[in-house]
Amino acid sequence: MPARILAFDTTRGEDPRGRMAPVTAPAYPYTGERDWQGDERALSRFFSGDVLGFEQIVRHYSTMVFSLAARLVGPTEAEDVVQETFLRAYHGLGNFRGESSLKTWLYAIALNRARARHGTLGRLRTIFTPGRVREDDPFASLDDAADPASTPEENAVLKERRTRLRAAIRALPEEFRAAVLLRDLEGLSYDEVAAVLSIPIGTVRSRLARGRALLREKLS
Amino acid sequence: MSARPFVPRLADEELDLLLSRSLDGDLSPEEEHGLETILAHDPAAARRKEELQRLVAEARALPAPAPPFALATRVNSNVSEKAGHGGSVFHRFGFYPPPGTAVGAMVLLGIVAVAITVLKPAPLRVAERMEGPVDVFFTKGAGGIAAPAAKASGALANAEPARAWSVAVRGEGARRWMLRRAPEGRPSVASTQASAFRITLDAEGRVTSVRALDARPVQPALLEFVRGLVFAPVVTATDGILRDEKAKDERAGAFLDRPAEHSSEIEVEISTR
Repeated sequence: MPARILAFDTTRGEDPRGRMAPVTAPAYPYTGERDWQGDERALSRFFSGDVLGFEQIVRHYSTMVFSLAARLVGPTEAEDVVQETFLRAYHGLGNFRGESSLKTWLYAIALNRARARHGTLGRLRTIFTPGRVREDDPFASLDDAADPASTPEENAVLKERRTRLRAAIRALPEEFRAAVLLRDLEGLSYDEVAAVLSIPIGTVRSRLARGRALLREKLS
Repeated sequence: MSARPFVPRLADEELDLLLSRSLDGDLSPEEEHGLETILAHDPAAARRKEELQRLVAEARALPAPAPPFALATRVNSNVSEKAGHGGSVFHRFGFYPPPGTAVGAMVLLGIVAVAITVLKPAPLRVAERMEGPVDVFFTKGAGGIAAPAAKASGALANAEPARAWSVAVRGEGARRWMLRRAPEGRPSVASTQASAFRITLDAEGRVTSVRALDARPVQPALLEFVRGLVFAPVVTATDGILRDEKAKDERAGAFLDRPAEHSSEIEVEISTR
């Protein structure tokens, strides 16, 4: 199927509510994958100056971005990562060329935001943020979901297994962890993982294999 | 009698790669067939596949974190607020400094401030005043020995012998003093704001040359002032280099009682500010 080329007129129209200054961009060829039929419509609205287009994007992708962020930095800080991701996306959409899908583009931003939080400066900020309570395991609440069809004992075992698995994933070296998270937990294809991490598909295969092997060794 | 199929022996990394791709359906039919052959003849590899299968299934079954209530609304509100009111100056240009940049910048500024405080040059010492309200400063520098010149100038009379001195004459008094010494052809203010000269003395302390270090043309009255400062006769030469052709001038003889062993240089900076 030939790639559709859409040209958006960025010169007409202003924000109807006068709130957000729309990002202007040159004619934008969208050739990426379409995971969501609304991508093109929303982007078209946004580039024509209608901020509702961006709001549609946020409504559709915020849960997805939150999921990745929560797995990377824990649920407590995940919302901050989501906020930063979409704010950055808002200002960066003018440079979005559609070489990848909007979904992988947002994933890439979220990944970088999460990395920045866990970098040296991010740790410093955490230390110096007044009133911030240090959590022993910020990921603990992720494993609380119980299966109503199982007995309490089975749920306890399940929770323990999940906790161990999450801990093992978090202990992976960063390059392997990102590949495993995106492929096995977020369900991205090899192509999408490659686009998010900006690496060749061959590297995705090897990182995934190595990451899974490390996990197997840790949990066996 | 059927021949046993050829079963290649794979390194662990190669087997892991094949198993991992197999789980994702990424192998070609030929590769898949080869892997099945290996698994059929290698129980350890088959166990490895089972463990990996179970692990990946568990990972994929991990519940996705539930987003907080009204997340999208809050995000939209936040974007609207920050984008509509300009947000950060950096954000308007699409630049997002990493968190903690402000703290890092403050730390860096602190380090620079401490470095400047610690490494700042020693203050100029005030030598005795010469004629009138003129402050003469001198500091050690690299170069020849200027002891005879120091004695001659009077400004450095109390200074310890050193390899070189930089002399700075500053203050309003310097200008008045200069004008008093050079009543004819008064130098303009522009040319007397600041000037620097390198004066070379021979082993006997006689001025052999005066070189103007300024790029600006030097007026004769200013040169006269410099000559008066070191109490040595100087005649004008071209290219801003003044050569002393009267090295045996009587006045120069006044400070020849303690000749230096080597030639030396003295740098003189004159500022009327």
